[in-house]
Amino acid sequence: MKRYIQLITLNAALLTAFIASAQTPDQLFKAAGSPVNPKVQVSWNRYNDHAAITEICKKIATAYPDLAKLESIGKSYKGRDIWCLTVTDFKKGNPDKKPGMYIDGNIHSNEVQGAEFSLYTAWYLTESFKDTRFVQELLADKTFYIIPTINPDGRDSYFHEPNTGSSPRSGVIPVDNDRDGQVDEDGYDDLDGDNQVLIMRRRNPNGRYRIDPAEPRRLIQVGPDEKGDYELLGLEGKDNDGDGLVNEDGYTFEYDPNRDWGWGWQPNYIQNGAYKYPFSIPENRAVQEFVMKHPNIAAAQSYHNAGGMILRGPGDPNDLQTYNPQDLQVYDYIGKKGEELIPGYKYLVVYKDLYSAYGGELDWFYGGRGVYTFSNELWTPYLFYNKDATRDPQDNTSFVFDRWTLFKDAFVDWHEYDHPQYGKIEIGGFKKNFGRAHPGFLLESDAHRNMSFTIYHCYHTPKLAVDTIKEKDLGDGLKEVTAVIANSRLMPTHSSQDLKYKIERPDYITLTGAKVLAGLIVDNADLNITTEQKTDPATIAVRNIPGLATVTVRWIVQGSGKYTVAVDSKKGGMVSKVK
Amino acid sequence: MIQRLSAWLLAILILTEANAQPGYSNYAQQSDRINALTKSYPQLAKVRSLAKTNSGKDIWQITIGSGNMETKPAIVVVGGVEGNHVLGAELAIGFAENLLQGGASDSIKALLNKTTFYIFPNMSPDAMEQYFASLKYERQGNATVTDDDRDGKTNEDGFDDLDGNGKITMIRIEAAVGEYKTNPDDPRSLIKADLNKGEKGKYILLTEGTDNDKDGLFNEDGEGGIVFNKNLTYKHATFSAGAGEFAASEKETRALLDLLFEQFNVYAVLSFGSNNNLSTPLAFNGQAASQPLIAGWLQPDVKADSMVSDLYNKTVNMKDAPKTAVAGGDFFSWAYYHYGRYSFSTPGWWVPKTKPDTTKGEKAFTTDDPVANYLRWASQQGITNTFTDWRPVQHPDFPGQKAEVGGVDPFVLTNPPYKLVPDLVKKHASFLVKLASFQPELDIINVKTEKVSNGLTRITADIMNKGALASHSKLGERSYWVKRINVKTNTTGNQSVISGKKIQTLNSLEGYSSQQLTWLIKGTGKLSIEAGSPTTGSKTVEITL
Repeated sequence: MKRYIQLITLNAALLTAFIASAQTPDQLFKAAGSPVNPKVQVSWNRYNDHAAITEICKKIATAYPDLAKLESIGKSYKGRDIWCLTVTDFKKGNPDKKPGMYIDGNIHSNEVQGAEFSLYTAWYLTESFKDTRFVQELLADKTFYIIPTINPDGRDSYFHEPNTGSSPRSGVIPVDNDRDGQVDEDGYDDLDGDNQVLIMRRRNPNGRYRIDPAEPRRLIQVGPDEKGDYELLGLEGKDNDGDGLVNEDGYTFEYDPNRDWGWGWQPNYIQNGAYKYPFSIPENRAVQEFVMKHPNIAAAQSYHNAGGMILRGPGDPNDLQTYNPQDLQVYDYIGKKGEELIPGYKYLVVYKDLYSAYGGELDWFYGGRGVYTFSNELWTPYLFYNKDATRDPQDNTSFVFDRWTLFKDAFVDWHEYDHPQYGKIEIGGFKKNFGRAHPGFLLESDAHRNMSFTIYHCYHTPKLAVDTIKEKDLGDGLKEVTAVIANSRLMPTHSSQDLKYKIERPDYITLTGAKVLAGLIVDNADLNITTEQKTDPATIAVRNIPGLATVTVRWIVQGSGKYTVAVDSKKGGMVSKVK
Repeated sequence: MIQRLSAWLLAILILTEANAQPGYSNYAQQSDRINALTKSYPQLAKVRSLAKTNSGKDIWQITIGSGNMETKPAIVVVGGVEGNHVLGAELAIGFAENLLQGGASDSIKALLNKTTFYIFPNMSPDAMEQYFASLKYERQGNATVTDDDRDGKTNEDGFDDLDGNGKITMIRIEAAVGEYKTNPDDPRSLIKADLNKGEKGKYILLTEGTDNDKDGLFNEDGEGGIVFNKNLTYKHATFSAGAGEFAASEKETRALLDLLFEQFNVYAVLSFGSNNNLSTPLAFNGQAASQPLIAGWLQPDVKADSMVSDLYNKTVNMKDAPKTAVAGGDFFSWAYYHYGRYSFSTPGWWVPKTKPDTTKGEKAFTTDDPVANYLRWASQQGITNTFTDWRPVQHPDFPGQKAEVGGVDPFVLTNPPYKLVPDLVKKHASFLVKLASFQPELDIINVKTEKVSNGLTRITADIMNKGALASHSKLGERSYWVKRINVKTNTTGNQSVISGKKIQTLNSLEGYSSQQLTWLIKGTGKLSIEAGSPTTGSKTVEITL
C-alpha cells in the first residue's frame, strides 16, 4: 500500500512538472474567481499529509513574503510542528492590531479536509491579491490566522495507519480506556493488509442480513418474518488480548480533542472524551496560547466533517442565556448567509440540533474569549448529485456514485478471510477516504464555497472609523470636541459574552495634542445626556462599539492647534483622525 | 573596630534569639528542611522540584516509602493549598519529618512497606512569602500578573499601609450610610448592623488602603495573582478574581494534576486548608449527588468520610470547627469529583470557642463574632500585640470624615501561635498513620477446586478487600483515571478456559467485602489467579489441577 501511495505521488509530481513546463502564461485564460497562473502550484483534488502541508505552507510564505508569514505555534505530542500562516497585507498596519480571523481544521484526526480548506483559503488570498480589489481591501483591514491542522499526529495516523473513515477521531496520546492497566492492547486489525479497516461479515443461515438485490455489494436487513444469510461481525479486528472482547482498547479512541477546552469543561465520566483538564492536550494548549497572545482575533472558524452543517454554540445548554438577541442577530445573519453560499449546508445550533457537549472548541472561543465562532461540518451526500441523499436505509446513492461517478474506486470488494476467532469470514466495504472525506473532484469547489463563507464572516468583524469631529466654542479659551466613532460592520467590538464577563478590556478613545480638562461619554447627543469619566479624561474607555452603529464621546479642551482622536480597540483595530 | 564588634555581637544575639523562639518557616527555610530529609533519610525519602512558579520558586514533592514506591497504594498530602494558611505547609513538612524520624521503628517500617506518601508541602509559595514580608497581609495569589477587576490595568489598586505598622488591617469611617457597628460584646470588633432589627450602622468598613485608581473600589486589584485553591477544574469560577481565565491555567496547578493523574496508586488525598470534612463529616445529599453535573458525594463515599472523620476526631480531638463552604475551583473538591479519590481536608487548627472568665467579670457572648472570640482566647492565652487599636488617619478618599485604622492582625485567625504547632504536627502525623491502616488491600480467599469430570475442574475463589476503605471510591468507578481491579487466570500447558473469563475487571470492592468468581478449566498442571489494582496492591494464588 505504501509503495502504491509513493507511486501516485511520483506520477502526480511528474504530471505537474509536465504541465508547468508545457504551458506559458499567454496560453492560459482566466476562469472567473480563480488565480490563473498561481506562483504556488497545488492540486486541490487530493489530500496532504503533514509533511505535504508543511511544504505547501512554506511555498506560500516564500512566494508572498508581504502577504504570508509562517510560524510554528507549538509541537504536537509526537513533536510535529503546528503551522500557522498569518495572511494579511503586511505593508498596511500592524497585523496583530487588525481584526483577526482565526481558521483551523482537522481537530478530529479523520476530519481531514478542513486542512485542505484552510490551506486553500491561504493560497487563494495570496494568489488572488494581485487581481482582486476586494481581497486587497480585505487584507488591508484584516488578518487571517490559518492553522491547517491543529492535530498533525492524528492526521498522519489517519492516512498512514489502517483506519475507517471515522477513525481515529482521537489524537494519539495513549489512554487505557477499559481501565485494566494495559494501554491500547486491543484495537482494530488490518487483517487483509490493505491499510483500510473494513467490515467483517459471515455467511450464516440464521443471519439477519442478505445481499441487496439492487446492489450486490450491499447488505440489507431482512424483514422481521424473513430469514437472512449473513451476519455482521463489526469492524475489521480480532480479540488480541484474549479477554473475550474485540477491538475494545485501541489507539483510535483514546480521547476527544474537542472536549478539552476551557469553557464549561467537565471530566470524562460526565463528558465522554475529556482528558485531564482544559488544554491538557498539547496541540490544544498551543492553540490556546496563540489565541491568548492574539486578542485581535474577533472571529473564528473550525472545520470539521461531516454532514453539511454550519454550527454555532452553545454546545452546553447551560450557556443558552449568554447568547443574547444582539449576538444571535450577528450569528443568524452570517449563518443564514452561509446556507446561501454553500449549497446543501444547514445553519444549526450544536446543543439542540447535534448533541450537547462540554468543553468544545467553539464553546471556548465564544464562551472563554467572546469570539463569534462557527464550526462547519464539511461534506454532505447532497453533493453527490446536488439533491438530498439521506440516511434512508433504502438510499443507494453512495453505491451509485461509487459505481458510475468514481468507477468503483471507493469500495473494496468482499473477499474471504480466515479469522482466528470467527473462522471463514468476508471482509469488504467503503474505503476510509469515502463517506466523510470529499471525493477529489468535489474538494476544490466545496473548499472555495466554504472559504467564501468564512471570508464573509471575517468581512463582518468590526471596521471602525472616526466618523466626525465637531467643535463648539465654550468661551474662556475652552472648546467642546465631540467625536463620533462608527463601526460599519455587523460585529460589535465586544460580544455579549465578552461584556458579561469583561473578557476584553474596553475600547479606548483618546484625544492627544490638546489639554483635556474633562471627558464625557455622550449617551444622547440631541438631548445632551452625558456621563463624565472623572479620571484620565483624555482616554475615554467605552465598553463596546456595537455593530452598524456609533458611539459618541466628548472632551472639554483648552487651547487651539492640531489634535488627534485615536481609537484603540483590541478586536476592532486602531484608527485615528487629525483635526 | 569596637563598632564592628558590637554589630557582630548584636547579630549573634539576634541569631540566638531566632533559634530560641522558632517560628513558621519561610520559603528558603521550608526548602532547606525539605531537602534535608533526603540527605538524612536517603533510603526512605526522595525530594524533587515538581515545578517552578512564575517567580521561580520550587513546588517541592517529597516521596516517602520503601522499595518500589510506585507500586504501593499511596496517600497524597498537600499543604499551602491557600497561601495565607502557613500552618498547612508546616503540618505537611512536619508530617514528613515526624514520619521519617520514626522510620527505624518496626511499625513505621511495616507502614512504609505497604504505603507510599506523596507530600506537596506548599502549593502557594509565592503567596505565602507575604507572611514573612515587611508588609504582612493574607495573600493567596501567585506571582502571575493579573487584572483582578478586569478593567484593562494590572495591579493598579492594592493595599496601602496607612498607619505604617507593616500589617494590613482594616479602616473604619464614621458615616451615616455605614453598615457596621461596634460589637457590644467587645467594642474593638465591628459587626454588621441588622437592619431587619431596626439597628443602624455607624461605620463603613474596608480593608486598609486607598482607592488608588479612583474607580470607587478599594484594594480590588493588588499584586498577585492566581489562587491555587480557585484554579482547579471543579466548578471553576472562570473570570472571577484569582480563578484565572480557565481552569488549571497555572504551571504549578498543571504540574500537580499531570503528576497525580498518572499516579494510579493514590487512594486518598489529604489537604490542609479551609475546607473541612474531617472534624465535621459531610452529610449525604441525594439530590446533589444525582445531578448530571454531580454536586454531592455519593452515599458509600459519605460513609467512608464519616468513618475517617471519626478517626480524625479521636486522634486530633478539636471541637467546634468553624463552618466552611466549598467555593469552587478548590483542591479538596477536585480530588474527589475530578480525580475520583477519597478527599479529606482540615484547617488543622482553629480558634477554640472561648468561655467567659467570670473571675474577670467576662460575660457570655451575645453574637457569633470570630474576632471577638479570638480576642478573648488570645487574652486568656496571654497573647498580646495581635490587635491594632483604632487610631485616626487622614484618608484621601474620605476628606473631612473620621477615618481610623485598626483591627486584628492578618493570619492570626487561621494560624496558631507557633508554640502550638509541634503538638498539632504530632496529632496530624498520628492521624495520617492511622488513616493508612484503613488502606484497601486485596486477598484471594476460599479457593476451591472441584473435579467435574475427567480433566475438567471448576475453580471458585473470593476476591476480598481486607481493608476498611473501598478499593476505590464509588465515584472513582466512573472515571477512567481510576483503574479497576484486574483479575487474570494464568493458564499453563494444555489448559484452556471453558467458562469464566481469562481476564476480567471488577468495580469497586467495599471495605471488608468480597466478590466470588468461578471458572471451568480443562487440563491439568499449575495455574495461577492474580487479582490486583494500583490502589489495592495485588495478590496471586497458585493452584494445581
